[in-house]
Amino acid sequence: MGNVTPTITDLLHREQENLARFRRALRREDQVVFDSMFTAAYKHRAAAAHAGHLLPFETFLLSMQLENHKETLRLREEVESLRRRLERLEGGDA
Amino acid sequence: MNDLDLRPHGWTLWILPRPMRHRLLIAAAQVAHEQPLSVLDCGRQFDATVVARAARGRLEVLERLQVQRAFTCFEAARLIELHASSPLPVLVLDLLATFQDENVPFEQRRHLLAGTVQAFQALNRGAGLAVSIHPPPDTPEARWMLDQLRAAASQVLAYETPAPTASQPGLF
Amino acid sequence: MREITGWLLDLYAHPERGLALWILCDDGQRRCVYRPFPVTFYAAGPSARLRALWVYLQSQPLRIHLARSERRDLFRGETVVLSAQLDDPAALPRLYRQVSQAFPDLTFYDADLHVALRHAARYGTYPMARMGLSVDDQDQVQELAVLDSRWKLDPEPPPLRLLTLEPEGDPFHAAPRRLLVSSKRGTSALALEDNPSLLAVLGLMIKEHDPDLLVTSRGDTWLFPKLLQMAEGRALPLNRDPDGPIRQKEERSYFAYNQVIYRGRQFHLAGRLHIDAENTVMYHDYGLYGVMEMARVTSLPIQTAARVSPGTGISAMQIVTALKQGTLVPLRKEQVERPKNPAELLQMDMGGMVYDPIVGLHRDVAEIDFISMYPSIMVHFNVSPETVGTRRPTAEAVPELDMIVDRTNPGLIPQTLGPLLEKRIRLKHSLLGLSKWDCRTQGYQAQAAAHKWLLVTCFGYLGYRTARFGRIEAHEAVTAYGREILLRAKEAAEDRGYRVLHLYVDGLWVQQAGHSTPEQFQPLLDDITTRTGLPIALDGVFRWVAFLPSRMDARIAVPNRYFGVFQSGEIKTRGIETRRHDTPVFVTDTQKEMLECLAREQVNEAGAVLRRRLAELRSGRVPPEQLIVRMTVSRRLEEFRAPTPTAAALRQLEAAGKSLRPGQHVKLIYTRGKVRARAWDLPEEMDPREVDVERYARLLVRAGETVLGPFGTPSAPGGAPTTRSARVQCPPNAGSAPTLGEEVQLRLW
Repeated sequence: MGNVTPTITDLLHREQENLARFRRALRREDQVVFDSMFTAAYKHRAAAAHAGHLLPFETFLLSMQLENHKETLRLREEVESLRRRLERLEGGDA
Repeated sequence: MNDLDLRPHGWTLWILPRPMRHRLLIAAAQVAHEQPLSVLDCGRQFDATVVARAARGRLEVLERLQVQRAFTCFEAARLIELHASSPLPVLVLDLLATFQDENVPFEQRRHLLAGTVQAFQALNRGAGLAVSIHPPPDTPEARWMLDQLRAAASQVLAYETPAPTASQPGLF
Repeated sequence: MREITGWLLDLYAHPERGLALWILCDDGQRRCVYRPFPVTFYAAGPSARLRALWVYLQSQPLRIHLARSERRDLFRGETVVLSAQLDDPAALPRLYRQVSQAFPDLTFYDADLHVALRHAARYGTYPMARMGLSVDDQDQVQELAVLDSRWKLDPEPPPLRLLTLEPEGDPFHAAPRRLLVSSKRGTSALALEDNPSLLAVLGLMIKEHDPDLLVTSRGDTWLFPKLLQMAEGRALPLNRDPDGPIRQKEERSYFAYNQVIYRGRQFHLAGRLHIDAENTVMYHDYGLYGVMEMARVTSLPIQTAARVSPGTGISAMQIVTALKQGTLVPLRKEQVERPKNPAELLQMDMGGMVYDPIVGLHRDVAEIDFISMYPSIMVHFNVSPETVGTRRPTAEAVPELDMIVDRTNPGLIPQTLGPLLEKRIRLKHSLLGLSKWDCRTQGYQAQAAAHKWLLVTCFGYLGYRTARFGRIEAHEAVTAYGREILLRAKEAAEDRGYRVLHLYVDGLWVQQAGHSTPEQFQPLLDDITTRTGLPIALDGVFRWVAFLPSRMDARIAVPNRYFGVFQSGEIKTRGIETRRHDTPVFVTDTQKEMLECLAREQVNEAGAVLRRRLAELRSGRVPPEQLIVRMTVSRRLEEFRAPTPTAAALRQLEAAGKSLRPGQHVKLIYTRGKVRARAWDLPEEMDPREVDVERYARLLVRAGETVLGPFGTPSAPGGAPTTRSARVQCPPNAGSAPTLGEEVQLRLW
């Protein structure tokens, strides 16, 4: 008794542990980035669980990619709005 | 010969410390590369993701594994009895887990385990059998059960301490 | 021949007369009537073994009628069985124990059933049922009819006479000096120590009042054992039936639902009912109403219903259904899991759908919940151990699982749960229409609580290892439907422009700019019901709700950990300190007071409460009772490896001659010095200077930060300010500016 099928969170922790040696060899500043990627995977545990993929790491990678892309889109939008503001300002100068 | 030491005559009892439980799952995946295998999981040991990783995600390999779980000693005994004439080799995981349930009178558990050992002897004549247990607690009841299994098995492989999962690379 | 009408108070096997039924008669009398009640059990197995059993039973000094018959097993269908009918129902438990030891290889059915359940299945009785009886001169029942229904919302309440027995103080803490005996007429105090006349006086009082119900505090675990010891073998004056024994059940600890559960010793009376308020799950919150409703719907006798787990309650209901339809009742589930490949196993072995919430403070959020989702699924989709996995053409596929469910004939589980679910929904609707002050409200709420308790468990019970009619595939089908339904609800919400902030097993938290009244959410509710087929209800609209981050990593959200205020002003909390059983009262009270400030949107006042309470703590003005921490004992003392506070407290108690078993609770106070904790229930007075004030201060500040966190950036005492900061998250394009959380700087210290 006491043995339970691992939850999606357990699986994520396991993948993280499997990469402990990789992480250790990273520079401190890269370790911070590495950890934040796993935080991204955390956010989509529900989706990863529902996917029920036999190789869950693939789903975790996709979650990281999704958060990454979300951030890209957000930044692109911000750049666009800054550019528009800049153009308005420049237009006003003229 | 393979990782589970399955052979047509005689069966193997694996006594493994808990941290080594994934070892047999990986071995099961390796067996499945060549042939189908019945896995009877009596202690919630079967972690599909560990097996899938060992099989490198190959579905045709994974589909050769037929898993059934037992949650009580009654179910465990029945499941094993149903497989007594199985044409496939059988791997029983964590056999004694459910037999330690103190809610079931020992007399009854003893009866069930005796039936299970009989089924093992029948399976012996089949395509091969491996049974795993974790070292049980040091109680008279558990000792009795362990003795029964040790006496019935053709081969006992006992691990005292967890073997390192991967060898540490030396510095030089 | 006499006609009697009244309420069924109690029912049990009687050694000479079959069955004894106690009736609370309309003329105010309490009558015991009898009836013969033969009971039957069955055995299946190889014919040679059945023949051996036949011979064995024939040699018993009992009247047993043996026959070969065919009965329906839920899974195998018609099965050849040996049927054994006993005239004396009281003799069955012992006979069955012998037989099951002598024939461990046979499968027995209907062998270990409570006689009340058999009677319920045959005659439709249940505790406190209104009944009409014809009785002859020997008090033998000739005819019996039940006059109302257990599914009725307002049953006529029986005029029960109550006597309360309560020791003054907790006996585990210190030996009580007096026993308080209260009835409608008042309270008297009897000296407990060295009182040779106590039993006589108590007997006299019981005789005089002749209560139907003895409500005790710790009657099971302390008072009755003490009285028995004082009686030294003489009869105790507690029973109403002079022939009936006081039935005892010993204490035990066992492992279920992933935790250690402790069941105290029990004392059941005959003809009178004993309820120990401390050994009855529902008593403190719902009183007798809750207990009675449990008994009514499960058919279990009141003394049993008061003390069982909800799993046993659900099991009793299933047994009655099975007996009624003539289905054999096994001792335990017999079905083994069908073979699955690893991919199927992974797909099926998933729990409920749980999202990480969007952390922070949100305004105008609706919480909508499926009403008893898992039981509704079982009833609506006909999920039952025998309907799952059939190969009938009428079967329907479970979404995303390679599994089908037969929808033509209602299964055993849906048949059992249907009426209960229907009663619950009727009750909920009635409650909505009642004012808080209506005299029916309290009773309805208690009934609703009893139903919820049963219904929450019925799902887990489907796959539970000791369930009689469980099957892992049925359990998996229910969770699969549950996930599908939540996803459909999420899609419906998103299609209608809502943002789904959180999703937890059977509830959704949704938000949309401009939506704040219950009516605005109605179309969504209707849409979800259309898409899922299941009833859903608005739990309420939050003025604001805060979903909390993990303590370890502020970027990560924690499911089901939040607090908020409904538009009614009602505060709802989940997963925070006030909800935890191991939080000291002092911390709980402080956090509640702070929440009340926040509910009035007075953030600075909430901070002031925390500062004031912290000052009280540091100046030693908090009474130690308020600092008690209640821990569950998870293992036996010798099994503790680490020197935890719990282990220390248990060791101290052991030395004082008081031992606790796994599943029980230990009360302790955190202390300074090496030991770190002191058990509360030690005989010596505690020195208040021992209290580890700083540890409590940390607990208090943490609880304060939990609720202040979403409103700004509180700083820790004397330490660096925490980096956590959150702004109110308003629906996009919300008209009004947020009034909360505008970076309120809290200067706590």
